[in-house]
Formats: sequence, structure tokens, C-alpha cells
Amino acid sequence: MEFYQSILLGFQASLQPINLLFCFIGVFIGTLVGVLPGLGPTGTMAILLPITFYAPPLSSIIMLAGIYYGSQYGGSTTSILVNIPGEPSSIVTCLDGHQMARQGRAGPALGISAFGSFIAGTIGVFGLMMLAQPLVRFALRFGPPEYFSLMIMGLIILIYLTQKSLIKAISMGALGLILSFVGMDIISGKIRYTYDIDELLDGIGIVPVVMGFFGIAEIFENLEFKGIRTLYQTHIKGLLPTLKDWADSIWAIIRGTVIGFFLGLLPGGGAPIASFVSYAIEKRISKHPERFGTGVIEGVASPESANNAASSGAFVPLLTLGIPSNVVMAMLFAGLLIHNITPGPLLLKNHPDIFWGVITSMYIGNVMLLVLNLPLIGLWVQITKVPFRLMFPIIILICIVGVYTLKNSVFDIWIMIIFGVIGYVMKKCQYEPAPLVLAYVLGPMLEKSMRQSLIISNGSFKIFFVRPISAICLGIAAFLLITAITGISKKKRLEVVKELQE
Amino acid sequence: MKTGMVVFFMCFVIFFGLNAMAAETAYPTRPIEMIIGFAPGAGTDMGARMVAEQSKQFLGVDVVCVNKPGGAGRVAMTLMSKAKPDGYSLGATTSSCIVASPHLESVPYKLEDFTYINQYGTLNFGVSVIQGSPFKTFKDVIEFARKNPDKLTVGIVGVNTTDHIALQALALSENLKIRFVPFDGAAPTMTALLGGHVMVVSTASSGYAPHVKGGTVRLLVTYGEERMEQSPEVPTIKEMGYPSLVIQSWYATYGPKNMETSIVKKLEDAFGKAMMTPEFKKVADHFEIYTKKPLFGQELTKALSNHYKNNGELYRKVGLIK
Amino acid sequence: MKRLNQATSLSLIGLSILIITSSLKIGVGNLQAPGPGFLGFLASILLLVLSFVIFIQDSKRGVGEKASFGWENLSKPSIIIVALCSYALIFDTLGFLLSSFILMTIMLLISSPKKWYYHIFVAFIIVNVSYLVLCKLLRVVFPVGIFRIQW
Repeated sequence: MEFYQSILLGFQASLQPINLLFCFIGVFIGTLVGVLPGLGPTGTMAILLPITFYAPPLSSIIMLAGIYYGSQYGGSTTSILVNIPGEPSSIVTCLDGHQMARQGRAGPALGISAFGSFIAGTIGVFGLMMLAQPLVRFALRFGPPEYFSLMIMGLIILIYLTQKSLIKAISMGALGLILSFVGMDIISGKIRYTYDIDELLDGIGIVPVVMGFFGIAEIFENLEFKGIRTLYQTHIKGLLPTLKDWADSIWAIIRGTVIGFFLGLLPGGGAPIASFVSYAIEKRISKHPERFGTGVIEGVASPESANNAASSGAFVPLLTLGIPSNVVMAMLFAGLLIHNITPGPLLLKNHPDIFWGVITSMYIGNVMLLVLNLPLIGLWVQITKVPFRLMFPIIILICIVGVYTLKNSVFDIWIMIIFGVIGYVMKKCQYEPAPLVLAYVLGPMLEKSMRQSLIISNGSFKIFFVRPISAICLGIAAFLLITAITGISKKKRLEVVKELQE
Repeated sequence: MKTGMVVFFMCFVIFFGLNAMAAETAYPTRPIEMIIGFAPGAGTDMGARMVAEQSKQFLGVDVVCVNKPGGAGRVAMTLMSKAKPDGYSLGATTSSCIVASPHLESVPYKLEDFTYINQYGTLNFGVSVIQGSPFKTFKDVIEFARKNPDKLTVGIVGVNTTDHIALQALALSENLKIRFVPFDGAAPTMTALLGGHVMVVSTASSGYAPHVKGGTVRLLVTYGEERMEQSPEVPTIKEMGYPSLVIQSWYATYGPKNMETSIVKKLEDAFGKAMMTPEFKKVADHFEIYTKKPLFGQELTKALSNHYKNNGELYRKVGLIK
Repeated sequence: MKRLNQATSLSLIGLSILIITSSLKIGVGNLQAPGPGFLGFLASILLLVLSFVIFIQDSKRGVGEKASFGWENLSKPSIIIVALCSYALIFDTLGFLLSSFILMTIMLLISSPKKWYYHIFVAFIIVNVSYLVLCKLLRVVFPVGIFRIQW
């Protein structure tokens, strides 16, 4: 009974006109920010934070939260349309989403992405409501050794992202790892691989790399050939997902939601990792894994659901323990503090209206986002009809601006250009960008966790196997590795046999 | 015709004269950029944004904050050392970038490369444990470390930060073997504490304050000169018998060197007034960075160079530098 | 194509050697106490070995598909690359509005048969619309350059 009273209390608060207004503003800006590649929710929230000083506390939090999960909706749009991820969590959506767009199925891709995000977001909020307390205790058990094993598992999953040569994929992964280590080392304080370039002190930056590698490189490739009229040659086949699409994706959405929510819970985990892992698992258990990467709808439904569920999950540590899981949550944290509200175990007791108000506003926000995004699909699909010679300058400008707004640094623009060229050459030589990006995302946490764990255990490697969660992750990683290798050696054997017969 | 020419010529002269005068008297005439060397949401950022926001009314122009995180503030400082001293490029940072880092790494700037405007907050560091921890006082922690060499795990925020160095000095003087586990932010450090992965942590107030308020974490000792207003029952490290380990670390605004004195004075004025506004006080209180008697201009510069010298001696004693 | 592939794998080999030496310089440590260069060292050794294998594979294989390497095909990407580099160089000096306008005009010019004033017009519109959205709506800060062009 108390539970329903709390929800009622929450809706009473969040359905007030001013909160509805702030919610709408938040999700609208969030979608816009998500669509624009590079510009992320953090920057916008920082700029809008002073406004929250003058607004009532619940409204401010509702708006800021709306910006965050709104951006997860918008991020997939550019991934699907032009193969440029709007957010790091939408990188995986590029793989199948863009292929679908090329086949004229941008509408269904965008549609399933919106619906999947809605379903995942809603279930995620539900999970937040019901499972917050017990889950957070689970999340706390993840210390450095557990993160290390999780990262190892993530790297093995890399293997499942490849279509072409495995060796080239692994070498891209190794390169991604190396690139991620550039900059100041957190454990020793030493500066590595920067060759005295000041701007590299904080690392190369994932956004310029991704924009260059995926976006700019792709544009260069398309510019090579004469006579490309539009972005894609084929007819637009329908605006919304068909029944068959739904049948194919519904389980992907559910799986994505569960995986995303759990991974989003983990402080430092978050949406990007959730989307990668979800995609890989979907591919692994699919009956037709070789079709992933050519434009299967599950390849879009899965990561998009995962990243939205992850953004709901990310609220759990903040609202229950007062620990922000990522920079966005840290901003929300600051926003709450400004209004005399300390997020943490006492939040529920002292300010139940805030706690439930925020949670119920997330439902409302998800509905608003669905209503906002669906009609826009028609608009986005029209964009695919715009001639390429007009589109690509706009895309390049958007990329440049997106990259610049991160750190107000021209150096980042250079990084994007350089990686654009490198990406272009790599594509021509049949190297895939995805493993590099995944390794780049996982690298820092992998290294940090490893060294932290070894300090804690005084050099002993036993720590990774003695602790249950860590052991389980490593076990899964080993399992995946073995099945991958045996799978491959079968293929190799077939190849060898074929060659011998010729 | 000739009269016309003369009139035109005079208008020309008057126009330019007026412009020239206008340029001289009115600083500032366009928005000022404040570069913050840390990520949004962190203590440095929040305090600086409040100062910027509140000083708008006193300066008459926007103070626009731009985040350029990197190298724990070093990237921003390097950029500022090369900026134009026209008063439109300012920065906000923590004093450890100025008085600590240059000793330990080769950075392309020196204390003398900047004009210091004002101090807008104090970083209060403290050692904390989880609520159910067997350590009831700081002395317990030291005793444990003494009896169990190489067993105590202490979470720290970044390597060779001010509090880390103080603890290293402590370990040296008491002959203790402690394992320091670095994290890259106050939040992961506190998370590790709450999860039981480290036994003790040392962080700035932005790390422990919210959790102490929430009741999950217990503060054992603070590194300041006096006990903190918010936690009067917590002893200082001075009272525990280690006066040399008192840490002073500040948030400060600055600009490149050779800024005009009139401009600096105007900024000092505006920022000072901004810090007296109730909005600023609220934020400062929440992050527990509030300073009763902030330092300005010349005083600040002097204090910073004293710090720099003292740190040099401390580091040599601890063995961090030769 | 084969040449390009070989060049790529050779560059990767070169890069990995470079990183290996850097890692050794900053300290690799050992398995119990890894130093700052530890994982970088391992990763670059892996990269070195794999790139070597790829190099051998590519050298053995005959010339694959005939690569389209004529100036005709590479002209547009090359021009864009040069334009982008110049853009990055002049961005701070000329400010956002002016440099973006120049870049847009160039990009539109090289790919379209229409008249030049059409492109200037389109570039003008696009740059100003983005300025509107980003600067005014989202409050992003752009450099104004020495001519102080802004609105």
C-alpha cells in the first residue's frame, strides 16, 4: 500500500504544469543534443545548471534528468542515417542501423530504436523503483578486481563484433588499447606517449577519434566515386517497423533492457559498455550471427534498448547512495546539493517527493520522447533523399562543431581530421573500426582496475579468482574465447580443405 | 564646400576621439572568458561558475565559463600562461597546480607566469571510513598500520595530490608501510570505500561531505588548521600530533602575467562582491569550500609563493624530489 | 592495393616498435607490480606480431582487385583533406563564421556543377543557421577571430 501511495505522491508532483514544462524542455534539448554528434549532455547541463539555481528543485532535476535520457534517444538518429554516432553509446547502432538505412529501411530502424528505447526506458524506471535498494548493494560489490574481469570479458566480446579478418580485428583492438593509454597515468602520475604535446595530457579523446574514424572516413570513401546522387540508392521502404520486425526484435529489446540496466548500475559502467555487450550477446545467441553487420533489426533494437536501460540504471547509485556513476550524474548531484538536498540513503526519508517525483517524471519523459521522436522519423527519412553533394558538407560541419564544443579546442579538430584520414586508409585495407573503438573505451578501466587490484592484493593475481563475481566474469570470458576459437578453427579447416581441393 | 569638408573632418576626429576614450575608460567592454581546468560538476567548476554568474552584475558583462579539463588542471594552466593579459582571458584552478605540481613534474609554466586575482574557496581534506569500520579514531588507523605493515589500504584521489603527499610524509616519519590505491575522482574513491574494497580513504570535502551528511561514512580527521564548522567533533591532524601535515589548498582565479593593475583591481572587487552574495554562499556551504577570509591579489600571490617554498621543503624531506 | 596494404601493416609495425620503446622508457615493471608502460608494452607486442603476420599474408597474396587510384577518384577526398587542414589552421584566427563559410563554399564547389554564386549563398545560409542553433540556442562559445565577426 505504501508503495502505491509513494507512486501517487510522485505523480502528483511530476504532473504539475511547471514540472511537465521543465520535463519537456529537458527531453527536447536532450534529443537535440543527442542528435548532434559530439555535443554531449554534460556540456549542455553545465551551461544550464545556473538556471536551476532560480527554479524549484524538483523541476530542475526533472529537466536535467530529461536532458540525459533524452540524449540517449537522439544519439541513434545520426548513427543510423549517416554512420556517425551522436553519442558514444550509439556507436554500435551504426553497425546495423546504417546498413538498414542503405537498404532503404531507415524508417524501421529509427522506429524500432525509438520504441526499443521507450520500452527499455520504462522498464528501467520500473526497475529503478522496485529494485533500487537491493541492486545498489550488488553494485557496490564491484571493486577493482571485478571491473578488471568485466573488461576482459568485454575485450573478448570484441571478437564477436567482427565480420572480416579476425587478425585484423584483434590488431585494431590492440591499437585501440594503445591509443587509450596516451596521457597522464592515474596510478603513477607519469605522462605517457604524449611526446610533449600538452593537449594530449588528458588522452586523445574518444569523440574526435570516433567522429573521424566513422564519420569523416566514411565521407571520404563516398566521395571517391562519381555519380552518387543521394545517400542511398534504394527506395524508402516504409516508415515504421513491420510486424516481422517487431517479432524479430522483441526479445532483443528485452535482453538489451536487462543487460543495460545492470551494466548501467555499475558506477563507471554505463551506456557505451552496455550497448556493446548487448549487441555482442545478441549476435552470439542469434540463429544467424553472420547476418549481423549487414542490417538486421535486432542489431539496432538491442543496443538502443541497452543504452536507455543503462541511463535509468545509472540513477540508482545516485538516488540511493549519493554516488554519481558518471559525469552526468555528478552534475545532477551538484544540482541537488544547490537546493539543499543531499542525495544518498536519507533522500528517500527526507525528501520522498523529490525521489518519487523524479522517478515518475522519467515515465512522463519517456512518453514525451516517444511522441517527439516518432513523427520526426518522417523528417529524418526525408533527409536521406537529400543529394549527397549537399549533405556531406553539412555533415562535416556538424562533426567539426560537435568535436569543438567538447573542450573548445582546435586540437580536437585536428585529431578528428587525422583519424579521418587513418580511418579512410584502414577501410580501404579491410580493417574494421569497431574493435578499435571498443578497445579504446575499455582500455583505461582495464588498466586502472588491474593496477588498483594488484596494489590491493599486494601483487597477487589470486585476487581475480578468489572473489566470486570476478571469477564468474573471467569464466564467461574464457568460455567465449574457447567457443570463438573452436568456431574459427572449424572455418579454417574448411578453408584449408577447399584450397587443397582446388 | 570647404566648410562642409571642415565639418566632416571634425566629426571624423570627434568620432575617433570618443571611441578612443571609450576604449580606455570602460573595462570590460565585452564578455570575459573564464577557463576552468576541471570537468563540469567538480568543486573547482561549481565554485568558479558561481563566482562568474554572480559577478556579472558587478562587472556589467557576461563572464563565460569554459571547461578545458586535462592533467588535473595542468592543460588549462599551460594554455593560460600563453594567453593575452588583456583581462578577457581568465582562469580558475586549484592551488596545487601552482604550488605542488611544478615541483614534481616538468610543467611549462611557473608561479610567476600568472597574476592572481582572488581565492574563492578552500579545499578541505579529510580521512574517512565506512560507518561500520573497526577504526574509531585516526590513532586506530595508525596503530593498525604499525602492527600490520603493508596491509592498510588507503584510497586516494590521484597520485601525489596534496593529501597523498601528507600521508606519505606521515608514513615516513612513523615508519609505516601503507598501500595507497589511487582513483581518478572523489566519487570512485568513495564508492570503493562503501563497497569495502579499501579500508580508509583520504579525499577533499566534495568527496566525503555528502556521505557524512547521509550517515554512511565517518570522518576521522581533517587536515586544516582548525576544526571544520560543519563537523566540530572531528579533530584536526594538528591536534593528533602532526602539525607539519596541515594542508592548505585553495580554489583561485587568475590571469596571465602582466595584467594591468586597474583591471585586476576591478576584478578583485567584482569577484569579492560575488562571493558575498547569498547564492554563492549556499553553493560554497554545500561543497564545504567556504572561506571566511579569502585572500586577494598581492596577499594571495605572497601566500602562494610561501606555499611553493614550503612544499619544496616537504617534498625533499619525504624523498619525493632530490 | 597490395602496396597500400603492405604500407599499412608496415606503419603498424613501425608504430608498435615506437610504443614499445616508449613503454620501456617509462617503466614496464613486472607482473606483480606493473608499471605505467606494462599494458602498453603487451598491446604493442601483440600489434607487432599481428601486423607482421598480416604483412606476410598480404605479400603472398597476388594483386587483388584493381584499386581505383586515379586522380579522378582521389581528387575530391584529397581536396577536402587539404581544406580541412587549412580550416583547422585558420579557425582561431579568422573565427568560426568566416572560416566555416570558406570551408563550406569549397566543399560545395568541388562536388557540384552549379554556378559559384549559388554555392556562396547556400554556404552562407548553412553557416548562419548552425551559428544560430549552436551559439544562441545551446550557448556554445566560438572564437571570433581577429575581425571579431559575430552576431
